[in-house]
Amino acid sequence: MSNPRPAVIGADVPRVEGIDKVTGHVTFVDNIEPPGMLHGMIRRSQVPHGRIRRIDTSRARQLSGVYAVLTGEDLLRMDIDPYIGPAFKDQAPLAIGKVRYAGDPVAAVAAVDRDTAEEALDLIDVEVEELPAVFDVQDALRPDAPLVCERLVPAGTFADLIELLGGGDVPATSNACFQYKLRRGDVAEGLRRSDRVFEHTFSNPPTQHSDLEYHCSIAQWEASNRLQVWTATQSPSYVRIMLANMFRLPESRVRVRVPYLGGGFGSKLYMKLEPLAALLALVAGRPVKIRLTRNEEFFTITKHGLVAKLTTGVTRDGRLLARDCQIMWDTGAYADIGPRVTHKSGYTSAGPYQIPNVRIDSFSVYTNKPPAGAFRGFGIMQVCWAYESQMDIIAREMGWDPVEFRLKNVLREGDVQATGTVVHSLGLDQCVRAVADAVAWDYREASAPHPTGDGARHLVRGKGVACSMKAVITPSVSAATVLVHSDGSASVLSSSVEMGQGSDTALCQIVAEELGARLQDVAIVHPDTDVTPYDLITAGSRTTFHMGNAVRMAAIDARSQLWPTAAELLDAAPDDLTAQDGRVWARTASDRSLTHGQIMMARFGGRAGTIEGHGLFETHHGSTDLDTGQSDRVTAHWMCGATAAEVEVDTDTGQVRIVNLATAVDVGNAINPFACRQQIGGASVQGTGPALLEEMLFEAGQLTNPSFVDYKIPSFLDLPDRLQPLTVEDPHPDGPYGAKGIGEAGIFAIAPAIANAVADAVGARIPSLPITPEKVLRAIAPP
Amino acid sequence: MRPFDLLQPATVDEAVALLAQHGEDARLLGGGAMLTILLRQRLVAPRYLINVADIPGLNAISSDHNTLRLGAASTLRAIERSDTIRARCPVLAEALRSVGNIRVRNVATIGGHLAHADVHLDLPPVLCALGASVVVLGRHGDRHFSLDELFVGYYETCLAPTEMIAAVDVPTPPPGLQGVYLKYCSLSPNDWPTVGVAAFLRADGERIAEARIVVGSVSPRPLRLTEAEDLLRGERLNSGAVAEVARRYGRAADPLPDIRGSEDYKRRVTEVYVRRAVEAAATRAGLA
Repeated sequence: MSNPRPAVIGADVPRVEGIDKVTGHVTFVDNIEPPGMLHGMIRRSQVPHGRIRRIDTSRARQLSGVYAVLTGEDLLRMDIDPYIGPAFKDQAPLAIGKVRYAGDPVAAVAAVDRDTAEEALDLIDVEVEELPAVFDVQDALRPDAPLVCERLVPAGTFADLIELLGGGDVPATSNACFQYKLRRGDVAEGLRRSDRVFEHTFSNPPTQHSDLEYHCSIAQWEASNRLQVWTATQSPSYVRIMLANMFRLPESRVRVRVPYLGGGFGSKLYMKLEPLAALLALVAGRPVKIRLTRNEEFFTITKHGLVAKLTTGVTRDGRLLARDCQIMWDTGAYADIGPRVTHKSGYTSAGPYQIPNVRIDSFSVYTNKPPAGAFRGFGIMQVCWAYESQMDIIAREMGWDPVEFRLKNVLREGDVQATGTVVHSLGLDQCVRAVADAVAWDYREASAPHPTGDGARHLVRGKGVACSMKAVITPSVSAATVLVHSDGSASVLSSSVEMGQGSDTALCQIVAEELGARLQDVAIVHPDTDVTPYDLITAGSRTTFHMGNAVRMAAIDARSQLWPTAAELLDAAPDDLTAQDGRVWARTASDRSLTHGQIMMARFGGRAGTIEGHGLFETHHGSTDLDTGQSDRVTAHWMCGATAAEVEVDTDTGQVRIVNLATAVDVGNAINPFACRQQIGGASVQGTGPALLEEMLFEAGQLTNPSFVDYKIPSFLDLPDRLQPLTVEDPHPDGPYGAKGIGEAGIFAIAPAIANAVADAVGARIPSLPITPEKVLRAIAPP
Repeated sequence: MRPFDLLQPATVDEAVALLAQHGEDARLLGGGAMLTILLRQRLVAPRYLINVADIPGLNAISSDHNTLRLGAASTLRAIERSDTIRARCPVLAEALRSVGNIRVRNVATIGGHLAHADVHLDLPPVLCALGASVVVLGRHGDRHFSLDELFVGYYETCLAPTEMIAAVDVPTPPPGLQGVYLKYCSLSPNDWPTVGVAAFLRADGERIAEARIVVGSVSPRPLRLTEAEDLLRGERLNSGAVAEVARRYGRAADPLPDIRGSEDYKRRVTEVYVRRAVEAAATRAGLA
């Protein structure tokens, strides 16, 4: 057992890599350059949908300094499996046969420098015969719509996506590549028995992840047919498996290394540039780096656009009786992880409420737009936007306080959630109360305007609240190793990626806690698949809970090998030992203590030896009924958060300013409270972008704003006047020290809380994101 | 970015000679704030860049009784921080504080800012309202243009490819002329203006002796309606007249729709911001 009063756990320790990061001393992938490295660049399709007639690369090949030129046709001639994609094998590193969006890679070049590569790209002639295209999910589902993808070949990657296995590897009959179904109770009957029924449609456009660091991968083949990769990925273990599959190599001959990441947010999951870098390197016979530009980021991966129609029945006494959710996800030209986003967010698409009758039909739909994948929250932001907007409409029309209405219906300990899984350890009630307090919630009828203090007639204020929950990805596996060295210091071998979220610090804290070591004596070994054990992915708020448990088990394993030696030296029983801050002693005789180095010295008879501790943490899910989505265990734990916003609206221009933004997340038990607040604050600010500013704009399938000149993300000048990141602690019995994952919950409810505050201020409801000044002005003063 | 040769003239005459020699193959480089973007996006691919930022004396800010002269290579930050500018043209210094960000202002030059002729820039409306002109050097020798003449359309000036702006002259504002520059960014404040309004008023007792209103970002060139300005002259400040002036500017605006708003929206906020700018100028001029 750990100490009764943990010393490192629960402390606001600064980030272990913080000083190195702010002084520019950490390495990112783009800082790495193996000798002889070439630069790879990509030629992209200009048409959104078309058949590739001919690609002439002869002039590019003749350019001095060019070592390799590849097209999709070339991939078919190589001894590889060219198709990638975590849900469906629908995407090749370079388009084969057809292009499916404007921006689809059609050819690639490796050259001595970027200028030469760029020049070579211009020398490639691409002939494409344009095909009719679809850009909108509703159009894409019409019976006569052109098919974006002709065959559905499941990748077979995920045990919990059994729905994919049923209807797979067949000619596609529609652009809907996946459907999630949930049936609980009788929705038709529930709506009939309701006192009021509300029907609304909400939407949000595709948006960007906007990581500071661009996608970047380096591949190098060794003579012995061994592939080495350095890559900016959130999923090194997955990348190794998939590269091994593609090149028909044993996993032991593929080495994937990940240094620090400059942000991920879901954009760097699964395979992105790694296969193309490996292919170019194979052909060129030299290492190849591909690093995208900001412009190319817009054509690589996006957050899903969504259209959701919700029909909800309520009783006069303020209960939700039935909810029907018809949801369409715009997954773009390639499914990427879209079906899994549809599936996982499907569980809670009806909201974090007790509703006896629920029907959810959620479709992942192909369109001729850049592919959509994972984004912080894995779909929860989008479904929360819909159901929390509608919750407010209902409350206001019924004359109920929106906070009270939510508190009356939120799920609590022991309730059965829509999937049939019982809810445990969900501090949602406390989150809602915490944020309401933080903005001095004072509900009144929406007709009463809230003027500002300075008497300016064109400025009015309003408050709004929203809340949400998510199921953590289940099943999943995390493994870790802790090495104790001859001087007693320790290394943590983990394939979790430090991408700014603070996982290195949390994992070091856990190991320091269990060994009783000083934090500065514990160091992280970053993902290196030759060395660090398997981890599913660094995503879905899963690292602290899953890898935290794994490193804790590994540290306890190492400790259990060290303590017998220490007990002998201290004339005590191993169970009597305790350790803290680099010293080990017996509780019964605290006057004598040992350092970990002294114990190692005694164990190995000199400055020698290694102690290895291993940890393996697995979660399991219950089987799911395909027709109803019912399961006794869809998830290992639930996460939740709530946001309250106070806004000021300029009624002359429609502009919205955030005066106060409070977000509370149930962290279980904070391993590092300061880092928790940083995560929640960062998520809150990131969430204001899609709420107020961000939108990828398309004209006939052409993205018109692929740069930060015309795609605005929040800057320091956009920060709320007051930002309040709050923690609620409802410990989880299975989490390390009761901790839960928190990386995403802070972003779920930002947009609807702001929309609800705008509605409170000016009485206008904006059903589509972003809430631009123009939409607000049109709603309050039509032209 | 395509490779180019960087030429380093020591004098303005040398710079003009290099321009004459290389013509369309060359571009002048000031701070590079705008040109770098164009180069990176490969919208221009000159073989020569002629660096004028380091020509001795070209960044001088000087004044006599009638005129402030800003050397073309003066950085926006230097102008913003100049005591002379703050004393003689406080609105110009104020407007500069909202241009881009401090990193941009530290390198961007006034000559480059004007020669770029992007309708979204902040200074053209202010300088137009102040009656500024540019001193242009080239094969034809010195020429002077008012800013009204300089700006022809989107990214287009009246300069020949072989000419360069050497200085900007700002006449000393008449005593009592007070003004503001109000900038509206519909999305992030860290953005081009959706509309930018420079409004100056001069009071004669309780009446408006002079009104100058110039609007940026909503038309191919800075928008000034003298007949609308005239509606205010000789009048006491009254909300009806101000509203009418604002309406006329809103109607005359010819904006391009983009992510910041549709044409209709931009006209509406033009009207709002012209009204607000005139009201704010009136307060400063002691009229409200």
